[in-house]
Amino acid sequence: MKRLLAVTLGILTAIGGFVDIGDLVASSLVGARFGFSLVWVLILGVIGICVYAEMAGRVAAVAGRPTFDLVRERLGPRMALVNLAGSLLVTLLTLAAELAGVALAIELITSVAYLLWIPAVGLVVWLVIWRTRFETMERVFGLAGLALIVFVVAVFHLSPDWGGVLERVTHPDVPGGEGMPTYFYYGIALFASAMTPYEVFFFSSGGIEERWGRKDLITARMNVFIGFPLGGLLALAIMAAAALVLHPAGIAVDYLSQVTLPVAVSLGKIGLGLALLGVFAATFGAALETALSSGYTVAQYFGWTWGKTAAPRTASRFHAVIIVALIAGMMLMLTGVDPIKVTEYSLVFAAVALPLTYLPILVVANDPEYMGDSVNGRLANVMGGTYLIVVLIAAIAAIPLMLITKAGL
Amino acid sequence: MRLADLMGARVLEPTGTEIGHVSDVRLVEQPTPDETGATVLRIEGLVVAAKRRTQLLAYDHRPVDGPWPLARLARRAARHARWAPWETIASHQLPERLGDAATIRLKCPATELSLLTDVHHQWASERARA
Amino acid sequence: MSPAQAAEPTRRTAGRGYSARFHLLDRQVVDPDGKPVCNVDDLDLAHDEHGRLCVTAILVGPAALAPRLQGLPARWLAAVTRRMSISRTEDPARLSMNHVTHIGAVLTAALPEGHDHVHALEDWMRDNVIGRLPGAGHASG
Repeated sequence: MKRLLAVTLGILTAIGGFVDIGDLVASSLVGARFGFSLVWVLILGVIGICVYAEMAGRVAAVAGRPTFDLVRERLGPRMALVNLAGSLLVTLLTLAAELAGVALAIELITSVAYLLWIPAVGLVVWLVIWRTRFETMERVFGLAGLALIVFVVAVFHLSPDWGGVLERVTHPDVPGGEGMPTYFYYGIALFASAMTPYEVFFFSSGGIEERWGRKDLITARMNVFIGFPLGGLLALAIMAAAALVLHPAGIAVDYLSQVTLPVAVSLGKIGLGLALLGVFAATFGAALETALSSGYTVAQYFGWTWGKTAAPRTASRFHAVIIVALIAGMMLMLTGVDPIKVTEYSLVFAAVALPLTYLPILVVANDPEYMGDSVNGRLANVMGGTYLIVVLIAAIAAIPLMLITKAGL
Repeated sequence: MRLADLMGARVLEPTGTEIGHVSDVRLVEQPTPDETGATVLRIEGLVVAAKRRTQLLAYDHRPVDGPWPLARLARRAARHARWAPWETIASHQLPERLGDAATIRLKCPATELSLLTDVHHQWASERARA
Repeated sequence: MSPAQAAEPTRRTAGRGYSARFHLLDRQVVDPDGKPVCNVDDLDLAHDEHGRLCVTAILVGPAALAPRLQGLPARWLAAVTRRMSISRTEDPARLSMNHVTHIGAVLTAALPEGHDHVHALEDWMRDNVIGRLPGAGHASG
């Protein structure tokens, strides 16, 4: 149990990356529209985030430096400002969508319109950041988010023809009626959300909040190699459940309620209840992650005192950024804009932020002046270099694909 | 005066030809005369890079060797960079407008300055002896 | 080098050389407990008795950062800082270089009593916004 509790930071981080509101719907949508033909992208994304989260965690543990510090040190104030703008927009748009996501989950349970819940959700998110211990926060929302494992159970309960599934995963083809650009657009969207930059900002800053040192390298690695694959598994299960139930029935996913539909079909009311709990915890956890990330990035760019663990009055600018981010997110959502669309458009800004975030991590993880003898090994460098190229290609391709496909229509 | 007034400044030969810009400044701790062990950071000289956009990552001015494609790119970019010790600097002129580059004039032509890569080895061996 | 110095490779000792861009600019400054204080936004230089330029202070804040952004962004940030400034002077906040004891992955500064803030905005934000909210003095842990 203690071992499991030690990896809740990784689980919470991964939940924010893989099963936040945008991904809940996107994974389900991809499963419903493309069946199993985009599973390989998800696996590619899980490996990529593991590679870079491991580096970022190692730098945090050994050199004590959070990721956005490195971004500014290595890229200089000008390029880092470009990255800050890109990352902050991704993070803020995601935060706004998560606030609506939590409200939507409550709407599913209470049948009271989600817009009415948004101010209350924003307030509770702020209260958790303001008063709850960091550890309590990551444990409660990390573990509650694991209720989404019910999707894994549902997939097994549907007892698909595993040989056929494997065949379709390993030999992906674009389903009839879908264009190649649309297929790649959703592929890039899945990949970018798996490797979204606020995950490494949150993960490395969280490690420093937990006072990781060189002796915690194992904890850092366990967080990465258990937390992120677990998050990926949840996203995979959601996609598979949709592929098994919704794809054959020709149901397209537009709403959160349709995401939980396969579980209800497979496991009935108890399953649905657990799925709703999981959705609530995952979106709430993602809201916490993105709200804190916006504070971390701004504070680390400017070199301000930051940290959730200290009294707020000693890090007042950091807390002010979080409050402003929450208010901005609430106001954006109260205009009635579709939260799912918001996370889709944030992809444009992720394209700018991704390479500018991962390049400095790779460079610093190789630098003995920061890392001593804990510099990257050959495997980390080969993987890191390869993924940097993949990220670059995805970043360059993202915007034209979005325009061609009108964001996947 | 600020360090930002030196970084990025245009570097001119005595004849007025522009040879590049200041891409880095080297500082060395000097003992203070009062024997308290305190030190003061003094500017030793400037790194003059020939091309404008070679300065990403601050990789190029220290011998770092991994990951090799990045390290090679950085070394290639820095191979024409020269080392201008402070004694070779004739004058320094602040920019007229905030955000523009300052101007530095050298006492000698660029060809009399040593290449940065050669000086690197000298610094590295000094450090090893210390 | 004494054994104590050898155990502290980042302590400032005579003869150590640094690259401004790599070791100093944009580095985080922390207090001896490791708490972030500020970033090295720029360095202030002055001529010594031999006419050589030496570092006197770390300059902090948007007013110090602005010229380093170069070109239009530099002028924009400077203009915003001027209009929104809450301190009386236009000069950036300074942290004397004498307080800096170590230069490594971070710069460590032993700040004297009462000098635990180098930025007017932090004080303003604490006194007028964050400090007024209930529970602001409570460390959540």
